[in-house]
Amino acid sequence: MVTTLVVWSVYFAWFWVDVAGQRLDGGAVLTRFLITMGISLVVMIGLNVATGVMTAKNIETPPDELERLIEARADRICFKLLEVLVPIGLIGGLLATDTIRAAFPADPAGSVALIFANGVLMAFVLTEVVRESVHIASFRMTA
Amino acid sequence: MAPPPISNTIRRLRFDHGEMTQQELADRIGMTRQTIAAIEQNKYSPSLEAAFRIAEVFGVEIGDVFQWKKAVSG
Repeated sequence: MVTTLVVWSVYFAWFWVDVAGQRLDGGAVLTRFLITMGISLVVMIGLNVATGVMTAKNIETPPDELERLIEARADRICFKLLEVLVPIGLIGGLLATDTIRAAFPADPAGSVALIFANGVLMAFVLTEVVRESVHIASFRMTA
Repeated sequence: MAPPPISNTIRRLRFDHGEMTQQELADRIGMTRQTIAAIEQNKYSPSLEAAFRIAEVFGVEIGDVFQWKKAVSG
């Protein structure tokens, strides 16, 4: 969760600072996105492998009933959150389309698409952070 | 969230069976130690299947492991 929070916070902070400064560069955003994605994957896979080795837990062991219950609860909460965040992002984006086009006269369509895509991506990342938080809190409370 | 109105004797049964650890019990019924700890502390009610498996490990009836706390009528 800390990885997701730190890595993606930096990415989104950088992106929205670029948007606020009206200097969006599609190529640079894509590069930063790929680097962020790469770091996330490497850190998460590394941590999972390290945890598996340290706890001697077989990675292929299926979750037991309490773990499944907690995962289901976290998924349910996140689905509800996504149901709220995605429409807000899309409606907000639609309402702001003219403003975005006016702010980026060099590439209005590309800028609108980039901001839309990153808005939706931000909703997904936020949901994932909430999901992992629910996971951790539930395990702490029950186990 | 209020704890389920069920008590259990898993801790005593583990003690009576050669001080079996939570991990050993968990391994024998295909659960994690954390889940056994949650059941033992009455923070989680296991499924009927898991309850039978726990009773089977100790060689007792399910009612000897889990007891329903009858509500006090007022």
